[in-house]
Amino acid sequence: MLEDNQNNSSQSDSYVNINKEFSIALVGNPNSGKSTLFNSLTGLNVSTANFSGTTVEFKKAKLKNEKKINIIDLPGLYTARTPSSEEKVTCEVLEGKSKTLKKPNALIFVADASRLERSLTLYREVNTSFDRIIVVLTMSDIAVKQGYEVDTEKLAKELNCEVVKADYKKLDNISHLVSKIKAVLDESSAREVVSTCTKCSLCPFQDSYNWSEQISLVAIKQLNVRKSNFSRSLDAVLTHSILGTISFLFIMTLFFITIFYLASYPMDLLDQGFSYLAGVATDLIPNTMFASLVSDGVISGVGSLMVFIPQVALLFFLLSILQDTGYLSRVALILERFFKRIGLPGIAFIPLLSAHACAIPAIMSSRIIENKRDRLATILIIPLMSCSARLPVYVMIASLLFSDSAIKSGLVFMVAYILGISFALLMSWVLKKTILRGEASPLAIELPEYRLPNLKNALIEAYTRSWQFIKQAGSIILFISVIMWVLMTFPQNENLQGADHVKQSYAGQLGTFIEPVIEPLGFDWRIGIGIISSFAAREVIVSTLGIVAGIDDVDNTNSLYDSMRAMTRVDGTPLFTFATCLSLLIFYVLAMQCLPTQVVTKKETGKWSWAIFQFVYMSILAYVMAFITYQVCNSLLL
Amino acid sequence: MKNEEYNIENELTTKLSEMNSGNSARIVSMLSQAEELVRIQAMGVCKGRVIEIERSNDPMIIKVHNSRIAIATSLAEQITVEKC
Repeated sequence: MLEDNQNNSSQSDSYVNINKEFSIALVGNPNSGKSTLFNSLTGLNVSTANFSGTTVEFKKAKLKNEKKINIIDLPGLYTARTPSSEEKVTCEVLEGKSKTLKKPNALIFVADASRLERSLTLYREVNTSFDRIIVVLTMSDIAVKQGYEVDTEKLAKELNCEVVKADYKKLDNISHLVSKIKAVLDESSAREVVSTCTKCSLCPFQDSYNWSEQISLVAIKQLNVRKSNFSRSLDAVLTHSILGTISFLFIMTLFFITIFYLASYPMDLLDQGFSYLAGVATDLIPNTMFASLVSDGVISGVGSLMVFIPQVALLFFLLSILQDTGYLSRVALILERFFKRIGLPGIAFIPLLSAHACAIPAIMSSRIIENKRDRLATILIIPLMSCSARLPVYVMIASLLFSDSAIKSGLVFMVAYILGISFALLMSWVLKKTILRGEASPLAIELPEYRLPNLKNALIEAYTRSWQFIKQAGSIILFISVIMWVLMTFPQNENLQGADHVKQSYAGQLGTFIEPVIEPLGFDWRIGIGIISSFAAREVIVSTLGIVAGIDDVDNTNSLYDSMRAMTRVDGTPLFTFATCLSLLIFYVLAMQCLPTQVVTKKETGKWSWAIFQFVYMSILAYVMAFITYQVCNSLLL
Repeated sequence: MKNEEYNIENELTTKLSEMNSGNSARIVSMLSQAEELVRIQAMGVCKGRVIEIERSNDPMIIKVHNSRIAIATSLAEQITVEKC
């Protein structure tokens, strides 16, 4: 519980002093319109950061047209009484005990008019820490649809603080709100803090709700309108056991097609852009070695990851839309029963679906899962889903196996996707029975009213998350690309070209070194180099194999596959037999080969040990399954 | 007084999970202090409040104070209510 902070009333600094920096915390229930308010009050200068030692995030930005006033968007919460990490860090900030943020000078409390009683119970818990507080009333339009309106003057009197109605559709109202906020910072507006919690003998929530119901009775004016049952009627369809599932499949197909196909156009453009840049760099830099480092190492390497930006942006744009409309909670409800069996909450579906585009934003988006154990389990299995970077590898293997039949090639893809999903679900079940023992936390989620999404929220979310992606994954990919370039280029040997040069390079030596280990999977040193080079990005194996196959023009796919088919082992038999191809496919479906993903796993779980665990279990799984595949195929088909 | 309450609990109370859709009930007690139960109490499903059951199969949908909440039946089993 939050204690009355005695220091507040004795603070004597002048709040109107323009040289001082102020910070104002934004607190409210989830789904209360807090993010929309934050985005309206601030501009694009938003920075996101984690509380030290946690993965709980807060946003910080300057109040519009103000240089000295910071707004801090704290996690949405229902109560400050449970020990969950979001609630703990929020309490610490409000009490001035946080190591990451100093105590804010004032509090903006976001109260949802359509759920006034509940908002007020949270207000009751947090208000005693502040002598400068302003209540912003949101969702008044929904309250009207429910048949009542809130009298701000009466509410202000009851709560002993300023109450302002927010209506984001009118700019005037925002400037009105901003001036009110500035007025609250003024010294003379400091209020006397009265501890409202006088008798905590009863169940604390019962006591809080008794209090908030009394206040609501005074502040609420019933309207003579027909109550809207829109959300309820829509839910009769959208959460229905059959109709709900059908509409769910439809919406998710749209979601998936958008992040996959719509993103492919800007992705192709980016890809061409990076190729063009690499070409320009080669032409402009006189020193061939340096030119190769810049174009083959840095630009191609960083480019291979940066082409995913359109997918990342679209994913978070659509997620924000789904969240704003209220549909995301329904997804959790619809899938609850099925996912419970494998130890995941229904909402885990969203990151798992997103992982088919790219594991990194999927891991970032797993924050929508509140329970820590559930989130961890989801993050650990996310990279088993077939991400876009695996597609070029699947294409290569499908072409090597069945160049003559589109149907059979399609089958290869299907097998790869289904395998990824099946092993992810299986692993989740295994985790539930072993190191992450226990059940997924049972569903307890609010079904907010359906609303039209806020486009600005979605755009800002897409923008912030894309930046986060660039910052988190970008630095590591630069590092890996340079290392891979060094391994493939050195030691230098003027007399050797193409395949021969690669074989004597450090990467080639590594490939030869691991050959005995990968031989039981049907791989030789050349595939070994391919696998090693995949640590920069999985699809790199295609161009690496192209180089060792002796192709100069790896973009010419026909000649690439022909030369690969012509590759032979020491004994003269073809390298890419049916068994080897299948084994390679299984290996690429299951193996953890993406170091940027590992860095993000570490960031989101807070520990390297989870990233290492993820790497180890996936590698073992990939090795064992590829081994079984190769050996079984070989003994059956020869 | 205590005795009376005890009797009432026995005769009229039932688990929330046993309630049918369309009915209303008053929350009597929570049988555990699981984190999810504390959270739904903060959402308004706490002792003394009247709730309306909108959907009774797993997961249930209940309504309290204008807000609709979906909860797993396994949680609803830990909530005692009295019909009203």
